[in-house]
Amino acid sequence: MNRDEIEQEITDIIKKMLQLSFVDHDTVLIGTAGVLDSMTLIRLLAELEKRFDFTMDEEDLTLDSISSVKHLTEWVIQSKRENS
Amino acid sequence: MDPMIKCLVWDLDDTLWQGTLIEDEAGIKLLPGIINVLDILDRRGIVQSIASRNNWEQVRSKLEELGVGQYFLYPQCHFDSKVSSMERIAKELNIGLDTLALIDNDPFERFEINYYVPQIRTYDARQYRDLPEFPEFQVDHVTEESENRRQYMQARSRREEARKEHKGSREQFLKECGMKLQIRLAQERDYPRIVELSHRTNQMNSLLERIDMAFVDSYCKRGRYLYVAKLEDRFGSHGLIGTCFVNTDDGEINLDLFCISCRIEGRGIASAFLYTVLERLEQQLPMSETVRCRLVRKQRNLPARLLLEMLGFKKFAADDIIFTYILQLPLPHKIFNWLEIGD
Repeated sequence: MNRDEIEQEITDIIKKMLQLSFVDHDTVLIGTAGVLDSMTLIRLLAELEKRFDFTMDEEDLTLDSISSVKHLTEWVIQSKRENS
Repeated sequence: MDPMIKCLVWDLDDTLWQGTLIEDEAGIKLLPGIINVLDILDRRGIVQSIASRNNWEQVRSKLEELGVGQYFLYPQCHFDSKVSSMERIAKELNIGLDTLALIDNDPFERFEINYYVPQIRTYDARQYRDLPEFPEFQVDHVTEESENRRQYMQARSRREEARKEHKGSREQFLKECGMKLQIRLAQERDYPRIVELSHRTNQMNSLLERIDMAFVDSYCKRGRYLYVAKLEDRFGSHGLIGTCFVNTDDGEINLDLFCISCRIEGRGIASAFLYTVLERLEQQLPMSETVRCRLVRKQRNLPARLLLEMLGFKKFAADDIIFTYILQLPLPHKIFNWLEIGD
């Protein structure tokens, strides 16, 4: 699976989870303009772990690493690499 | 200590009722005294559900006929394994598997659950009369929230349905929910619910601490404040959904403990609550420079940690057990325009 495919998949998961019609790689997930709250975020992370088959290291998890779709994609790729 | 049971799931044939629905529909009778058990648990705020290999339409009309249909939320009547039924119920209710229990007459079903999901507690159907006496089914105080928990859950389920139908933006949807968040200092009548929140919350419990009435009673001394939040929306009241203990005795603001129900996840309520509390304290104590919050370092309360980071807190120190978070005042400006905040 390449980067674009992962990003597309993450976008789809977020859309489905939040019933949003528009999400792209610049969509801000957290912060004043953010669409996620912390509980929803946890559900999203659990969903990503399942979908991409990795275990997150929650000690490493910072808000920056998951603040946008772009960052989230990088975080998934990084976590998968560390898992393998 | 094992966590208390939040949801008891009933098998039907020869557990809730005598007989096998599919074979002898007319002969089905509730077991003696079972309504009493359902009612006691319901009043304690323990949610009840069903996992049964029967046809749902047939089950529903039988439950109505027997007058017990209203007790059950998210019933699972299908031919999938009970393991998946239990997992679905936990997901729908947003509770941990270790707070879920199954009562079933079939030792095979109980063994299967114990084998795949050992966190779930299982009971032989013959034990039904004794369940309310078991320690894991005890609650310290029956609060307004516990008595109405089933109604709150049903309101939640109606909201979920509305969400699925709604097509506009997330913010628009939340606005249309007409949420009103009341944030105020706790009064004595709130204390039992505050204790209950500390026992029932994990994900949004900063110290994963279970407190008792004596602690709450003695908390509010000079410079210490106890806040609570109540939520209602167009689907009904959710009762008291959050509490926060604040100590300002040293001139700075210290969040000693916060516990917020995750029944209300996904609507930014937790951040609106804590932010508003801090905003009021900042006005009250214009000289204070920081807000501190200690957070126990467990995976279970990761949402609480993320909540602090979202509010602008930074990790300041960490040892093996505790993270210390600090927020420099003034508070960053935030608006919560999808809900109405009052006091």
